[in-house]
Amino acid sequence: MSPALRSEQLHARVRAAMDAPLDLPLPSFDALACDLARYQAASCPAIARLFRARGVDPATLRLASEIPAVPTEVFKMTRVAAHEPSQDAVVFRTSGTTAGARGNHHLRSTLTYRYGALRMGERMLIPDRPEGLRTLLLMSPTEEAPDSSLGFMAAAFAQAWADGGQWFLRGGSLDVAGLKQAVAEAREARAPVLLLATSFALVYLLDALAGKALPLPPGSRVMQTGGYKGRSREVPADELRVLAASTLALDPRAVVSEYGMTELCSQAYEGTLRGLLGLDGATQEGVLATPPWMQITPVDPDTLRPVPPGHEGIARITDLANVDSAVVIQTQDRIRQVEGGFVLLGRLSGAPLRGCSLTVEEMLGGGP
Amino acid sequence: MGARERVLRVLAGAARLTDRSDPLHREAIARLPTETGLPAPSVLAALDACLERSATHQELTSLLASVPLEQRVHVVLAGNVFVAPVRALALAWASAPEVLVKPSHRGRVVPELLLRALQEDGGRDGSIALTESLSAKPGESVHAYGSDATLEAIQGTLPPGTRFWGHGHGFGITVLDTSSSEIVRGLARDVAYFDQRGCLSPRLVLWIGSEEGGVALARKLHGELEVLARELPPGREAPEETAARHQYLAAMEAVGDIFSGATAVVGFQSGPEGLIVPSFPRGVHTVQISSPKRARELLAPWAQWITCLGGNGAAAEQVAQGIPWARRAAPGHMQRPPLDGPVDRRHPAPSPGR
Repeated sequence: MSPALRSEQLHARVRAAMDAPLDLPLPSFDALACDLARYQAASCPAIARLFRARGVDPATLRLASEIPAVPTEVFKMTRVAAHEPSQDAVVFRTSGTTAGARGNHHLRSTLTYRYGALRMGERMLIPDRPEGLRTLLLMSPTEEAPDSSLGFMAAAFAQAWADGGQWFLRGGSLDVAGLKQAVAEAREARAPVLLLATSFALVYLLDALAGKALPLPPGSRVMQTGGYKGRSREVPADELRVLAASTLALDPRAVVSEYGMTELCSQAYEGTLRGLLGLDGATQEGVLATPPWMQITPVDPDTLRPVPPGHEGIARITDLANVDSAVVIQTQDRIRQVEGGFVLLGRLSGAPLRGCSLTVEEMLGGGP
Repeated sequence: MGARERVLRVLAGAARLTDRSDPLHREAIARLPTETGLPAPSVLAALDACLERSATHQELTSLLASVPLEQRVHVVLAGNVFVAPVRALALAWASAPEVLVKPSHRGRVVPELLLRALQEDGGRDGSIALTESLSAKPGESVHAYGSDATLEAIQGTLPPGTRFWGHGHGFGITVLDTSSSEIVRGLARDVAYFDQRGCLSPRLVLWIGSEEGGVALARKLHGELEVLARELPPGREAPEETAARHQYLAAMEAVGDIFSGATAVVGFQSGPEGLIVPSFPRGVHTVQISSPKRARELLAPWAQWITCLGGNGAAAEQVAQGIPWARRAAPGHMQRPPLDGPVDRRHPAPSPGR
């Protein structure tokens, strides 16, 4: 069987798995993850090398936990793809605002990505299927950032759920007047709004509004995601939620955090909106839930082995939607597993560029 | 006395720290291992090899020309490289007769001993004093050394009318197209001094040549580092550095060869699509690249942080053209650039305070 045909079959199996109930574990998870790993080890030199280095025989895999995780750094260093460059449908790239090389995620097809993103997005952002929904986007449009996986996902949401959406971050500038106008029109039409925003754009907006309210129509909600990467002042997540909710006249539970990354095709979300709508039991802010085709395990940063329950570790993520790249990746995001999902604790600290550095705390006199 | 004499006084004070018969030297050797976490033999070797205590007439002329004349300069020191205060103080005192120095909590020994030497030398012109807080006024300058985030924070606290000269994140690279034993030994020494805590330390080696040659270079460099560890033992490694080492090893398993021993890690990758820079002590990432042009392309995302380029072949010369601000040095000499101005030449002029 040709690699392309094998890939197609795996994509179809993953999409079928995505049709399973979203509140139950996926019985085929391990088998599908291992089949994906076998395909990737057979077709991607970097993954094959990793298997050899770890002494893992793809043929003997039985559990997803046995699959060697590809560190996200590897996406910066070499091509992590089971297909030829000529077959790339899209290449998503990590942000260029942080130091050094950008990571590349090569996708042969975006069909499974889109399918899974919509499935999980519908569950976590529009489970009540609000009528007349409008999507307003505080992020760069896809024509300005064609290599942004977040932009791709947001555009998919806007196309699938609404009228294509309106984008208010262009040329690096936030069009506050345009946003106000769009909100006014939505209020006039009594149409609920889904505001899709990066954290830094949301902070820009709040700063631009300078304490003035911009009430969204009833039934509206916000999805906010991503870090700041030096592009605006940083606001702690809980503070940002409260500020955004009060400015936009929303219940804080209608401000939903999303967790995703360029090297993944699936996303995790807070379940707060579902809790607000009475669809689930009490859902705690900051707890991110994964779809059944995605599993996150905190591992020890030194040994890369799972930490005891409740302990902090760095996230090892198995994402079945990563069909043509790496089904298991190792991130440097610190997490802790809790009831209902995981809590994001930040990045693995202390591993920035070395050289002539001292801490802010030290400079300000508080250090040891 | 003028600015030149003040700089010479700083150098004379620094010379006392390496004089075996001087009590200041004995105190430095006694206190620095605790402060830096580096073993005594490594402290002693770095003092001898890297502490500036002399300069040619021409170097001094360049150093004096590199700073504007001021009345008062404030210096905020980093704590990573214990010899760095010498150049920082020389530059500040060359610029202004009055200097206030805020040392790092992790780097007090050398500033304190230098100031004691200056107090004892009988010179009457100018003053340098230690301070625990930064109190720059409009019209005054601040020379700050630290992480980019720290510099931004410092600059944000300055009143309007101040001038700010920040020296932030940086690291060294080496570009080679030949790899004699002498070159590799020198490179290993550049890596080992200060456990790569400084902005001159090479963390990335770009080999312009065959894959086999690159593997051989990485293997040889690792061997030299392990041998050198007997003379220059490594210091304490922070937990986050240990984690960074493990992350690097895990990534390299997917892309190349790893030469790892008790004290050093050298990775090798052929034909990379992008470069990474290890962030743990005595870690060197070696890559084989087809041409200087490709090296410049790969270095582009990192260029703003490159402060020193080691190497002495034609390839190094061509790569250096793309990073004109980087200091040039032959392998083995990267840690002791001429005392002709700031180590970091990325920002030749101060910017306004806020």
